[in-house]
Amino acid sequence: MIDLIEKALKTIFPQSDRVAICHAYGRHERTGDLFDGLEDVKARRARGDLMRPVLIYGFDPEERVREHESGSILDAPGVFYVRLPARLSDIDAIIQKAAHVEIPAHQAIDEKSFCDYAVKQIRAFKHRLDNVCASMEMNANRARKELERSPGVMPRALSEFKASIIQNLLTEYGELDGLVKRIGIPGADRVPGMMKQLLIKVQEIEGGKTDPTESLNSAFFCVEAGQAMSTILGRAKEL
Amino acid sequence: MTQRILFIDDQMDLWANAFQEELGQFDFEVLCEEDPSKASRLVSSYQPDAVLLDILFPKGALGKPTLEKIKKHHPNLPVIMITSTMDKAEYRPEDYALADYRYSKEALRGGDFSDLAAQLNRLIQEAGARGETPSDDTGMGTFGFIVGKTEAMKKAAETAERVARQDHTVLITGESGTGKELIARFIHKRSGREEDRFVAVVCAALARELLESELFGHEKGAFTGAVSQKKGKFELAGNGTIFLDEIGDMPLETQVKLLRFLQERTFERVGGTEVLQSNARIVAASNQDLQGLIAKRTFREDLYFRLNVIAIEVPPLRERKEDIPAFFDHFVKRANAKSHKTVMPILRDDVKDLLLSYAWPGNIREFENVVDRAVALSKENILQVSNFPGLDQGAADRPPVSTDLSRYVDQVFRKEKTWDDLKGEFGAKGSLRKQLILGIIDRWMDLYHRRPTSKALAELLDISDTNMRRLIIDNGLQLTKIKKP
Repeated sequence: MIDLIEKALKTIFPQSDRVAICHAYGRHERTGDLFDGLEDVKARRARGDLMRPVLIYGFDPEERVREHESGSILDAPGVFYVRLPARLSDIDAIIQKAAHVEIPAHQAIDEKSFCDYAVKQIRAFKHRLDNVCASMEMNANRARKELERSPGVMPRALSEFKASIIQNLLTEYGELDGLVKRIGIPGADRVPGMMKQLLIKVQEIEGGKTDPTESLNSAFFCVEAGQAMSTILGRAKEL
Repeated sequence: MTQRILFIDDQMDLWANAFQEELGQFDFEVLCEEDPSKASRLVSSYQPDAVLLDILFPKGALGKPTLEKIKKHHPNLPVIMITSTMDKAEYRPEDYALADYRYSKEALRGGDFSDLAAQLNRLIQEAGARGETPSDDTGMGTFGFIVGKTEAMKKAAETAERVARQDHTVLITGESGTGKELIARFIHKRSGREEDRFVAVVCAALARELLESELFGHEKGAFTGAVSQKKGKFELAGNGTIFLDEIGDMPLETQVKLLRFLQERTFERVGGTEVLQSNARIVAASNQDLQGLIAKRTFREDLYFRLNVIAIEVPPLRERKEDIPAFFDHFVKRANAKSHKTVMPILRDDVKDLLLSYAWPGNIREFENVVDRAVALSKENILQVSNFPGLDQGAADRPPVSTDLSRYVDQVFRKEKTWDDLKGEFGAKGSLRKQLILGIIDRWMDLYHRRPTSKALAELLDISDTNMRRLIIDNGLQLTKIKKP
């Protein structure tokens, strides 16, 4: 249904190439998956991927759409809402109006929507970082027990310290860096450096070039470094 | 007995190994899956005893709908919601009212899984007490091996259970691959000695000096290469159980020493004079007719009578074919876990006919290998006849029922035969050759608890690396485990 309406609107209003058309929210009939167009527009505007005007359509009144978690995106420049069913002439009028809206590069999204999006992304990243920290701490403690049982033997649990995992986090953080800087989390400028330091330590453990005790110490260092980064990123919630 | 756990979490690169290793120590087998949409299918195919389910996934909080789906079809299967740091703030208990328990990953930070294992055991037991876990009429849950419907096997299982707590020596006889070691392990677990070790020694695999060193230990300098003192299995077993597999191949000189141990409970390390004692219980096994060996004077009669205090005879698979559906069900589920597949344990009539018509000279071990391969290579949800290549070949190429490949395997490990010798004896019987190589690989795994490399096999069989690799490829074998997709 969602796809069908969008296709129909684009067929009826070919000039809408300048205007993106998007369903507010709903469920795909074929797959049953939830579809959140408001969140999608918010994310694309925040990332600078959608600089065209947008016509969002739905079957709910605008007030109810605004109550949606991402409803504030309707306040962003060049974002319009039309409640269906509507007369074609009314839709046409909105599209004509939208097509002439110029969106300044730095105002593609309202501040509240941007902050909501950035905090959500940072929290999702922090969640993955916290999981990495929890697993590192668990494996460091498993390794400690192994080392107590077999002194001098490199604990198997240390093989769970994989540089590829930290490298992925680093790449992911690189994509978030712009968001983090824009919302100004105190101390966040230290995170990339800490992340690189963490990567070096994990590479040392993975390389197995240090003795078991030193590797274990490095493992606990990694845990602390990860937790320190998590504390910094946790401040995003307070913004 | 081993319990199956299905663990669904989106970050298996962080958790899978630790969960499998740590819970494995508490006798849990853990199947890990990152995609919650596969949960229902995996519950049907793997039939876990409990599920550990994460809440947050990349596509959102899918833990809740996944829990609802599982409980809709399997209302009595225990499900533990595994929550992480972020979930704690967002976890609304009313959303997860269907879950049996909530466990935080925070509790695992110390690297101790005993509490999680205890919770799993408790929930599984509670579900079992309600009589609501998947029914198990195979005996697997009780014995750790499939007892099934055959009278001979029922008798073997009952005897094992009855004598487990006694200290008598037990002699288990049966063809190679019938599961003698599983029975020995069951006896150990029920013996009251389970806190001590179960130590298995394959007598056929080692030359006399090495076998004696393995069993009794050696002193420094006892023979070339004895650079330090070594404790033998009798010392290591403590008050546990020593499983002497293929006892019929034990050299006569070593039999004398074993006899002395059985009479006096004392022994000396090779090259040593100190008389040591051990309270370990002996469970022996043989795939040969020991009385026939006595007649040939290769096995001591007095040792036979000492060992044969309690006799358990395990029937070959061809004499318990009514149990093949139960074996099929069990090994498909195990193979799913090993190769990360979701094949349904449904036995089609044509597949059943095929499995029933085959002689299974390698017994259950061969059956397991065949099912493992079928599941690993299957592209279907239900196994087809085409997934069992080789079983439907003509009788001419089928090994005779009486063929006992383990004899040849023994000779290879004793360096008495090379591949060239065996090639001459086996002629063009391709399937027999393949089974022999499989037997050698199995024996290697029994001995060293890991799969052999192609190079190691080449050395064992005295052929070039290139020829060994060709042999492996030609026979459709693989030495490395199938990696997860």
